[in-house]
Amino acid sequence: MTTTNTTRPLDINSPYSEMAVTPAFDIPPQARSPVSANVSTTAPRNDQMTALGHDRPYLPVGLPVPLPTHTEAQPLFTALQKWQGTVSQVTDSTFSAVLLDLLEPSVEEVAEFDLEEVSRGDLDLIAPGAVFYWSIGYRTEPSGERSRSSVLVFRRLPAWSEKDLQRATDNAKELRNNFGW
Amino acid sequence: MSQRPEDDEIEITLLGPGRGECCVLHVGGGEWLVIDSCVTQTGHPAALFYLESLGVSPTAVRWIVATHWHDDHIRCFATLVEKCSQARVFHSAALEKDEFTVLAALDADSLIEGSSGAKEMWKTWTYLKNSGRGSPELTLSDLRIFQRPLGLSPNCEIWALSPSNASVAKAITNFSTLIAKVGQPKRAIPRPERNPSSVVIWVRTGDVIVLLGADLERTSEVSRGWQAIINSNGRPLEQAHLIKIPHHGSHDAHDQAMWNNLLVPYPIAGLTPFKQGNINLPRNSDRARIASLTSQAWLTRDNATARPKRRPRPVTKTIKEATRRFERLSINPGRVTFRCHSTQPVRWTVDAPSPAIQL
Repeated sequence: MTTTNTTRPLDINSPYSEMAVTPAFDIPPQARSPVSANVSTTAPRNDQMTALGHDRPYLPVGLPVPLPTHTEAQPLFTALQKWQGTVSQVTDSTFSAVLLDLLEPSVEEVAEFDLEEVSRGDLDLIAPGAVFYWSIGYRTEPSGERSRSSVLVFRRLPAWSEKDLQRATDNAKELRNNFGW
Repeated sequence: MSQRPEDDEIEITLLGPGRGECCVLHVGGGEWLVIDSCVTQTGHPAALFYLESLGVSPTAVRWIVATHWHDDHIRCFATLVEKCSQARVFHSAALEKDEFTVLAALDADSLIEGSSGAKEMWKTWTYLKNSGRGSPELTLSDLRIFQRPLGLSPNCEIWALSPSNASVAKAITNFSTLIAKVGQPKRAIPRPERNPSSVVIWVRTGDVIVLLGADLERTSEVSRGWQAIINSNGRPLEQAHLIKIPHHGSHDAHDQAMWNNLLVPYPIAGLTPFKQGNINLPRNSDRARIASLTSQAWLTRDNATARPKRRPRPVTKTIKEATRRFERLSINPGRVTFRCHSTQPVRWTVDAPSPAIQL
């Protein structure tokens, strides 16, 4: 695996960080929601960096962009491919997932990953049904050095609330009434 | 077969696994039954694609059955229902219960992209409600769905043989465990390993009988699974000449009593493959068992997956480095078509173009 081990963590407040992580294609509407915003607003600690790369390429779009205060350059991630994955099976050392190609959503694939590919901070999120994004692209350092990079980021979706469950219960009740069930 | 069947012919076409499986049946008289839904590589309902290839209008579909709610059986089910505007829609009685409707409502509200069986069922219900077509009809064991009026030829009966009351009760218990609790993180609903309430369909057209096994499993209890059907007094007792093998040939759906009681010796058979995680059905042992019990058995594709799509070399190279296994799930479904005149002797014609194989 081609990786880059920078000693400088990403500066989320950098004026260039959004530019540095903008994918080469549109992010689907749900991924732009506040739900995914919760996922991406914290830069990874060094101990959360994966063996494959450590960019956070899914910064929420639509958040206020701070005005430039300095011009320190950041690595640029250019995504070539991006999937949304849903974990289907977990073993002691691997997990399998169904992948939806976000460049061509009719294409579904299945992959098996080593758990080692996942950041330590995300390991507790891996369970059947967990949703993640996987992107492959080029990471370009400010020095111009370029390397291939693979990044797995699990979505930290908000927990189900009392209100969510009540809404679903009400919707279900309305449907059953409508159908005479 | 590019010609539509004659009025007195019964036809059973198995399609799969363009993610899932689907059965399209001509039950005589120009009337069609579609059981479950799978999709083509481009994401369209494979049943509609097949009917179009025969020059059959979707309005000729009179009945659509969802055998169960798993994603690999109801892909694009809502679209199928919408296009087949004259069809009555059936599903398991277990799905009308509070537990499943809440589960489906939650899944539809979860902001998680991609298809899921529960979400598709919610979409179907929403369409039926908004279009004014009314509620789906609920199936339980020993329920006659249709009988062709006397005087019309060929005679035809369609029965649901499952789920039993005990199976519905078991399904409700399982649904309860899948409903999220307050404070739990949002996740997609994982595909349950068990499927207690699948709908098995029995069709007789003229003298020919077929049994469509859905994903019904073997159980140790006489009140559930295949045992409930075998022990029922309310079902039609005639043995079927053709079977759609249950649950992709899996050993957990094999009940020897089903073969002894519900089928003629050495029937003709068809099945579709399935893959999820490390599960790859039918296994070699399943293939050998099915071949030994049938006169002919046909699989719509040898494998449920294919090589990944072509991508730029750096992407392909990284995929190989980052994964242990990487395969394509969305492929064009394979097809096996069985046809037979509805009078004795029962002589099947099989059309199984590549990639279908005979076991």
